Parts: sequence; C-alpha cells; structure tokens
Amino acid sequence: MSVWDVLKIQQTNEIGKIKTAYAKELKNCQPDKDPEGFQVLHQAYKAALHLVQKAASEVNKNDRSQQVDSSPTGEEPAPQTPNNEIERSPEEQAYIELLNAEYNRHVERVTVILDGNNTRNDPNEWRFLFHSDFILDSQFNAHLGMFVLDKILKINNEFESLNRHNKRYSQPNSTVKGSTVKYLDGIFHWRGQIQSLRYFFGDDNTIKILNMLEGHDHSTDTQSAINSVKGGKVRENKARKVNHADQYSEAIDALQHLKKLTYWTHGIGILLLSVVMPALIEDDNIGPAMIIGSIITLLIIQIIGVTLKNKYMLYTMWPTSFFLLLCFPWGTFAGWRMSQCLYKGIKYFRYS
Amino acid sequence: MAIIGIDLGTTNSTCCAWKDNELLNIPNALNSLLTPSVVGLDDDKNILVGQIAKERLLTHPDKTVAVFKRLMGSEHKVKIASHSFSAPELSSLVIRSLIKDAEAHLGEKVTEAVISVPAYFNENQRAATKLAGELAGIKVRRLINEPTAAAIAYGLNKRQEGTFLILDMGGGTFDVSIMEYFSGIMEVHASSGDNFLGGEDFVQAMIDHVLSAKNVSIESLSTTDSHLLYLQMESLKKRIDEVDEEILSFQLNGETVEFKVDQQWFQRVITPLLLRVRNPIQLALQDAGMHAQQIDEVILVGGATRLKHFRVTVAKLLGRILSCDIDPDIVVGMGAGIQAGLLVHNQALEDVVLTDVCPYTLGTEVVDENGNPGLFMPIIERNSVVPISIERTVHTVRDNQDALMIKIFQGENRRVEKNVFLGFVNVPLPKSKAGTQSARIRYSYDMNGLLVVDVSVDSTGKTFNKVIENAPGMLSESEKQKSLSNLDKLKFHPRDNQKNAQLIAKADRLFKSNLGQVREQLASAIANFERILEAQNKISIEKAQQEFSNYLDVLEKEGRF
Repeated sequence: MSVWDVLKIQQTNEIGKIKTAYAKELKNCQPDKDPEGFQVLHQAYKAALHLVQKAASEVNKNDRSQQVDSSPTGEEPAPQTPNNEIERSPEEQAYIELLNAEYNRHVERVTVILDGNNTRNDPNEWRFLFHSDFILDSQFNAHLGMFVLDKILKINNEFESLNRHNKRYSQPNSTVKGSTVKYLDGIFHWRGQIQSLRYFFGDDNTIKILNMLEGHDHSTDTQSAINSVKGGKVRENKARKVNHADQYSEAIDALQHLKKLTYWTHGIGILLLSVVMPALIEDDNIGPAMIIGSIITLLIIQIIGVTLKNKYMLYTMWPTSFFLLLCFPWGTFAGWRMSQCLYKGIKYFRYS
Repeated sequence: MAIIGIDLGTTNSTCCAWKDNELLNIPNALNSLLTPSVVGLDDDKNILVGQIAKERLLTHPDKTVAVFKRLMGSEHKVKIASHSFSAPELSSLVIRSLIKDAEAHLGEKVTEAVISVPAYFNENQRAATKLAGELAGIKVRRLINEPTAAAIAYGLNKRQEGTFLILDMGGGTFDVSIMEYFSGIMEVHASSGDNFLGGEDFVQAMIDHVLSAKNVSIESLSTTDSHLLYLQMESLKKRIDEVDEEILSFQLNGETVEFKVDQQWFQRVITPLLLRVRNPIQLALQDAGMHAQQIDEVILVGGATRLKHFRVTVAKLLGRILSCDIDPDIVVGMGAGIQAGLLVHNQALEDVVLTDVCPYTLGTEVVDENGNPGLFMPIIERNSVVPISIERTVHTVRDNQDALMIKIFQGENRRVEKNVFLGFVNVPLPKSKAGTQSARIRYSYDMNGLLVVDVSVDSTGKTFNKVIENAPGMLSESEKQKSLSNLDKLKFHPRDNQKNAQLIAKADRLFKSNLGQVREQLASAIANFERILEAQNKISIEKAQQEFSNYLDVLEKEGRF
C-alpha cells in the first residue's frame, strides 16, 4: 500500500492537500483509540511530506545549477572578524567597533590561557567568559567559539603527532582535556553546530570534538536536585535501581551454582547415609535409624527445592550449609560456597 | 463527579476545571489563582500548604519545605518536623489542597484529574507525578506536557492556525516545544528542555555571586540569614526591570553588609544561565527539521519568562517579537483544564485531536565491538510521535549463553550508566553458540507515557512482556495503600481561617527579619490583631484583616522583607 493509498488521495505536490487529507483520516483513527492505525497513518503523512519536500528541493537545485554561471552565490561565512562593509548608523557603527575591540581583547586573553600549561585546564581561568558582557551576542559567540576550538585542535593534534618518548615525558597538562572542552561547550554550544564544525575543521576533527562532548549526563542531576530544595532536611537514599538488575542476574547465576553444588553434596550424603542405614536397622538401632531416615528425606526435599526454585525449601538449606562447614576440610569448602550462593540466590525472589 | 486540570509547578501550582462548556479558573482560600508549592507543618501538626507555608519558610525552616519537585523520581526523602515525606507525598499534599479549593468552588466532588508535567521529565519522574495524584486520592486520567497544555490554551483560544514555538520557563524547568495547529489537529513536532533551568536558578545565581563577592561560604551562613538573603534576592529579581541602581543591606554572620546592584550586575550574573537557553531551542528546531524562520509565533509561558533579560536574549536569538497574551503563570493550568474537558468529550471541544512526542530516546544495553557491556542501543528515537511501537533484534554474545538480561534505559548518552534506568526483563534462552540465538525486542510507548516491552525468542517462539509502569524502587500496591492511609490521617489547616493565619505568618516573618522600631510596631500590631480575632466579632475582624493586610503590604513595598 503506498502512502497515497493510506491518505486516500491522489499523488500530489501540494502540502495543503496532504494536510487536509491527514486531518480527515485522523478523525477516524485517533491516537488513543487506534494506536496501530495511527502509527501507519502518521508514517504515511510524514513520508508524503518528505516526498514533496524532496521534489521541491530537486526543482530548486536544477534552477540553481542553471543560475550558477550568472551569479556565484557567495554565502561563505566569514570566520575571523565580524566586520562587514555595509552602511550603518553611527550607533551601530560604534557598537560594532566596540565589539571588534572586545573580540580582539578576548582573543588575546584566550590565547594566553590556552598557551599556558597550568591555565588551560583550569575552569577558574575560563570563568570570565561566562560573565562577559558580549558573550550573548550570537555572532561574537560563534566567532570566538570557532577561534577557541581551532586553537584547541591545534594543541591536541600537535601533541598527538609527538613520538612516544616525547609523549611520555611531556608535562601533565599538555593537551586540552575533554572536561575542559565540555565546560567550554556550555558557553559556545559546539554540539549544536555540527554542520559548521565539519565545514571548518573536516570530518576527522569533528569526530574528535564530538567524542569529547557526550550527551547529557543524568547521573549528576540528583545532586543538583538536592541542593535546590529549600527548608526541611533531605535524607539521601541511594538509587538502587540499576543494582536491582545486576543483583537479579547475579541471583540467577548463584541459583545455578547452588543447584550443581547441592546435587554433588546431597548426592554423596544420601549415598553414604543409605550405606549406613541397613546396618543400623539390622542392629535394631531404631532411634538413630529414624534420625538418618529423616535426614535423607530432608536432603531429598532440598534437592527438589533447588530444582524447582522454591523459596521455603531453600530456607531449610541454611542449617545444612552450617553443618557442612563443620566437616573439615571438604565440607567446609562446600558449606561456605553453599551459604554464599544461598545469600545471593535468595534475592531472586525479591524481583521475580 | 468533576474532572480538573492541575499545573503542579516547582514554585506555584494552579488548577482549572471545564464546566458548562467554558473554562473556570479556580481560586484558593486566599482568593488567589496561584498556590505556592510549599508544604509545612504547624505547631499542632496540621498540614499547611501554599502562601502560609511560604511565609513560614523563614520563621520555621525545619518545619517547611519548598522546591521539592526536582526530587520527583528519586528515592530521597525530606524530613519536616518529625515526619519524613517523599517528593510524591509532598506533591500529593499540594494536590489535596488544590482539590479542596476546587470542590469548594465547584460544589461537587473531584474524582479525576489531568496533571501537567515538564515535557522534559523522564519516565521515573512521570511515574512519580502519577503516584502523587493517586496518593491524593484521585484518578490521574492523563499526564500532559506543560508546553502542550500551554499551546492548547493558546490555540483553542484564538483558533489561529500555524506553527508555534513554545518556551516554558517556570520556577525549576525550561521546556521548548514546537507545535503545529491545523484543521483541528494539534501536532507536537519536537520537545526539548533543561530540567535545571528556571526562576529558582536565577535567584540562586544571584545569591552565589553576592556570597562569593563577600567571601562568605553558604555553609557558614545561619539558616535565617540565608533565607533572608534568598527572600531579598527573589524580590529583587521580580522588580529588576525597574531597578536602576540600588544598595542592598543584609546580615551575614552577624555583620551588616552592603551590596550595590544594578542592571549590568544582574546581566552579568545571569549570563551563564541565559547561555543555556539556546541549547534546547536549537535542538528542538533541529529535531523538527525546521528553521527559525518557519515559526509563525513564539509563545512565552511560565513566570520566569517575564524577565526582560530573558525576552531580549530569546528575541535576538530567533530574530522576532515574542507573544504572551495569556498570563504566563496560569496558562498551563488552563491548558490542563481544557485537556480534562477533551477527555470527557465535551461537545465544544469534540473536533480537536492532539498528537504528542516522547522527548527522550528509549533503548537498551548492548555490548560494544570489544565485548564490553555498557553501550546504549536506541530503539525509540527521541521526538518520535506517540503512540509508537518499534522492534529491534539482538543476538547472544557468548557460547552457551542461557539468558538475556534486557535493561531498559532512557536518555541521550552513548553510555548506559549516564542515562536513566527504567527496568529490566530477563529472558531464558536455549544454550547454543554465540550469535546463533536471537531475540526481538519490541518497545511500545502509548499516549499516557506507558512503556511496554515485549521480547520474543526466535528459536523457541516464547514471548515475555513487561509493563514499565512504575519504575522499580517506587511503591508496590500495599506500600501505596499504607502511604495513602498515612496521608489521610494528616489534618489540613481549616480552610476558612486561612486568611488570618497567612497574615500572622507573614507578620511573624517580617518581625523576624526586621530590627528596631519596625519590630516594635509589628509586635503591637500583631498583638492587636490577635486580640480582635479572639473577640470573634465578624465585622471587626474583617475590618482589622483589611487594615493589617494593608499595613504589611506597605512594609513590604518599603523594601523590608
């Protein structure tokens, strides 16, 4: 079924028509009543819009390629100085001059910070940028950002081209660290300008930059949340959620181990005891025979418990593992392992 | 049997109801549309919510708490007096108070509600908000994103078609949404935001700057001093547009300190925060595949957007004029109210369909090319239209692997440990060689923000599913009932004498923060007012209330806090 069939219209290049058709169809499959129908319809709608836009941009491209000879479109961004030779009012002119002067001053200061081994990774040195009067000016910000990034890349690439010996004996702050780049991203927001990064620095360098700038880190959020609470007393409870998943898979592993271990120890135990049993019965020692009989039953119950993963049958294994501990040396080892597996394995029931 | 819309804000909350084909704004007992999201206990262990509690933040900081919305979705608790509350419990107290107001105003019982959440809230925070509603004893019909609510209020009010960029900066969160309204369809194209950028952060930045300029650390400050400083900075922020140059004086560790503030100072202090405004706007535009020029109108929502500096920055960034016709403080509540009307299929709203997006990427943990765990594999990309259902296939990585542990994460980071963990499904597999066993993971995300994970093992055909409704570590049904009955036991401060209690709390606050002559005047005024209250003469009480309230307002206007 093509997208046009879903929208129940003929193929068209008019966005308006597509929208009307979508609106009409949407009334029949509202998202909260028919989620699957909605997903199909919405995908068709988006695909149709995309087709139209693609067709439109191709038409544009053809137009442009015909025009190229007559007028070369000069949309080259001027990276270094925000200085365009267009007539401006005196105030604007004054502001631009001020901006240029400030820009040069900032460039000088930034260069000094980046050239110093001790200063380049120190947030205190960079803090002035956050409070600069002009940093909110988007052009100023963008140009300074590109300048800083260019400089950072030069420093880091220079370091990378050193041979191993020089790398090892260089000073600790020879490169600009990822944390610094992340900090500065708070000012220049390079992550949002991937297109221009690629334009200025090429794909390889852009990837280097993006590797240093990862997405938002949720693990730092909690502390800021606690700091902003007013009044009362916050009692901090560690988030245990990720542990749950790990503990759960650990518990499953532990139960597996426990199963093997129990089969061995209990199997041997039952064998030994059943050899003793007939002798006891022949001697008419009914008392001890009863005790050994019930121990065998208990061991069998425990084997069943481990196989079926029954919580209550597993609890009876605590005393068993304790008695095993007393049978030095092999029993001690098995008993110790058993209690460890039990301790971890019991958690399984909390999450399943 | 009424359904209401609630805007549960970081600093202020509001509620609205849809009745007889029109929207009703519901005032609280103090006749104000805004109820501060502050909760406290008074000396008789009665619960105080709203303005009274806010006044007592200075005089009784150990028995009052504010700005707790940011703790939603975490496991931290707040201790006030001898009680310990979780963030959903505190929020539920605010909701209870709003419901009481609504019931008094509408004259019928409120049983259901639509609650607004910041668009950039994650699943855990949404689950906590829903829990807050349930702990208040109501059914939460839907959680609506705040910018979406604002757009509904705007779009349906004006019936104007086009594409809107909504900037919602409240007390604690900043949300950006791009939406289009055409032929009765309200479509959200993209949402983005910053959960730690709001009015409270501006005040905090001012406080930090003053303290660092005076070489005082926040820890060494007494609670009274720091709250006073907070109040002073909050009031300065509110009237900053009219301030030219002013010298503030306050107590720091027993010394009276003077500090000069002006426009330039304020601009410099908040620049780091304004820089953070750009990021979500660009991201939202990028995700929607749009340019700033394609936006027809920019709508401002939330109290913090009143700030001139914010408006100038955004206007420059987008190169256009901003619009803000509806009171930015209550517009979200109005939208939630309209959504409530939509849900009960009110006739006036029948022809509107709303489609929304999920703002975060949802995915699972996989191993990277070197076999180390911890890599995040996206399944539902951020800003996909909901409801949505997507399937991905995963393979085993070890020989004789007998189980798959599918951990569900939400976030944009490449590493799972930096994203938000939502839950897990464990799937047993038949043992085999590495890479030969596979399972298909299907994530389905519905309009209420409910995530369902289905896993089917290809070789055995067995399927497993899990509803990630309440994140683990939240409350089980029995815990919920226990918490509900505990909250039911708490007594609220009676509604009818709230006005008097609020005035006395305010006077107490002013008494504590002032010295000398003003203090003596206040003491006698309070004593006088209390004497009139004891006499229980209705007419003289009303008169005294008016006079006392005017007197306190005058004091506050003089710059005494």
